[in-house]
Amino acid sequence: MKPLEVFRVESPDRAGAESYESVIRDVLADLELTTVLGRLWIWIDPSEPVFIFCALIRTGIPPVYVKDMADISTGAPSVKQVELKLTNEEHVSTLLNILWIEYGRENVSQPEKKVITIDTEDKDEVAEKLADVVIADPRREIESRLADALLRITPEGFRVRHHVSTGSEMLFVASEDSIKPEWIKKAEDIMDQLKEDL
Amino acid sequence: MLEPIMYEGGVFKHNLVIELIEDLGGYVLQTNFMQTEVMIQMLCPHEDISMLEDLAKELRAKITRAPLTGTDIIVIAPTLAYHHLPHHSCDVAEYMRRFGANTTLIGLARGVGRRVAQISAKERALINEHDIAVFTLGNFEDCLINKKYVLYKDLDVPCIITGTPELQKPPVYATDYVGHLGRIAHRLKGESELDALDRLVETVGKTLDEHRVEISKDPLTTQPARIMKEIKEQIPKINESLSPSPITLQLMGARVKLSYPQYKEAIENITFEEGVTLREIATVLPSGVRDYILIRILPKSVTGFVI
Repeated sequence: MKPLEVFRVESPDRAGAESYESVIRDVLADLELTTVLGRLWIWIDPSEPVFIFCALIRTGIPPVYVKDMADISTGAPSVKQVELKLTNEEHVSTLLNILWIEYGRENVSQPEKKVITIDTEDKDEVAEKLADVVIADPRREIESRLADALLRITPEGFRVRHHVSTGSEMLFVASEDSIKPEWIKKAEDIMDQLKEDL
Repeated sequence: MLEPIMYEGGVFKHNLVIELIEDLGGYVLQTNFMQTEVMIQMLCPHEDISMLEDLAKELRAKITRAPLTGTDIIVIAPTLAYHHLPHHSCDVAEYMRRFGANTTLIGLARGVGRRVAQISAKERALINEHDIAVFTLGNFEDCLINKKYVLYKDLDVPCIITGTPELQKPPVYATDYVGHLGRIAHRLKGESELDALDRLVETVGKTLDEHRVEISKDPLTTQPARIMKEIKEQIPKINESLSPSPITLQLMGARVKLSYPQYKEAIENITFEEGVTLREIATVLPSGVRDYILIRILPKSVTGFVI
């Protein structure tokens, strides 16, 4: 799926839909979501009033584990510490926070810029466990950005909301009145059409 | 009748312009220096404009009629959320400032939505203090025509509405409407967007001119600019105000940024050289903005004289 290969903003009011498309493009660009969304279909009917947002999310970047950003070694048998040699400094502050919480500030030290050591009795177990700790999950961050984008795009008065979100799709219906079952049905139909020939 | 004029030129000899305006019986409202350039907003007697034009020509300066000079405009967004700010509501407010207006931007507490949109009595009173209200609304024709009028139907001041669709005639209760200026999430700098802003300034200027003509049929006892001059001379405290415009001129009065409880008496006791005090020719009211003072000048039909 290419970025925004389907981008439809539809409404009985054509001028309104065109203007709304520009608002959506601006919001997605501001939040750096243009490459995250694959297909997007929006239906707005102000006379109902209803706002439907259906999107397919492109499978994104995998989470970053400790093993992806550092070489973990236990050193000589007599030394009771685990040594992390950083290969990527992007998430160091998050890593340090996690290590401090897990092993205590007094046991974690950073003798050099790219070296972190953890003092521990059972270093083999710690080294093994540490390798699979998730440091950053871009997918979760994308979800929160997407939620932010939805709040910015949706007409402000439409505060009654229904949403179904999985890792790869987002269905959102908003109105200022109670959500009607037919709107959800319409949203599901739109979502089915979006998913055709995937 | 005094004409609102904007002078843009070099700092060199600009005091000649100020002197000429004072000699002609006009008023200098604001002087802004920008390095070697100066921009002066002033009111000049209609019949003497040619003298000002001659002087400007001599000084290689530009004179333009700025219909928004000395007016107090309020721009109203449905709320203060990121759906409306900073673009396009702030852009609209800012653009009108370039034409000499004093603009205030407010967001309503519950102005959003269709069925749920409403305006409170306090908001309405605040808006009615200004010369003209500009409502920056959204994209859909149905909302603009059938729903949003509740926000402005009970206002006393003229209301200009902005929105995306091009409407044949303004929505009911609105004085005028400007299209292509609906919900926009980027800075208004495209050609069509600037055109729309120019049309808005033109529309607001036209509405204000109509209001000026209306006022001239029963003229005010004195000019708001004269009250400004007297306040500056007789109440030195106003010169200590840190506000960008301590006295905001309006078509029928002024808003003075001094505390109402403390300075009401002093303002009412301002004396003009003709021997009258301000309390005889104007009403001094508390403003809805903080604890400021609002002055409303009485027309000739009430006081029986013009000074």
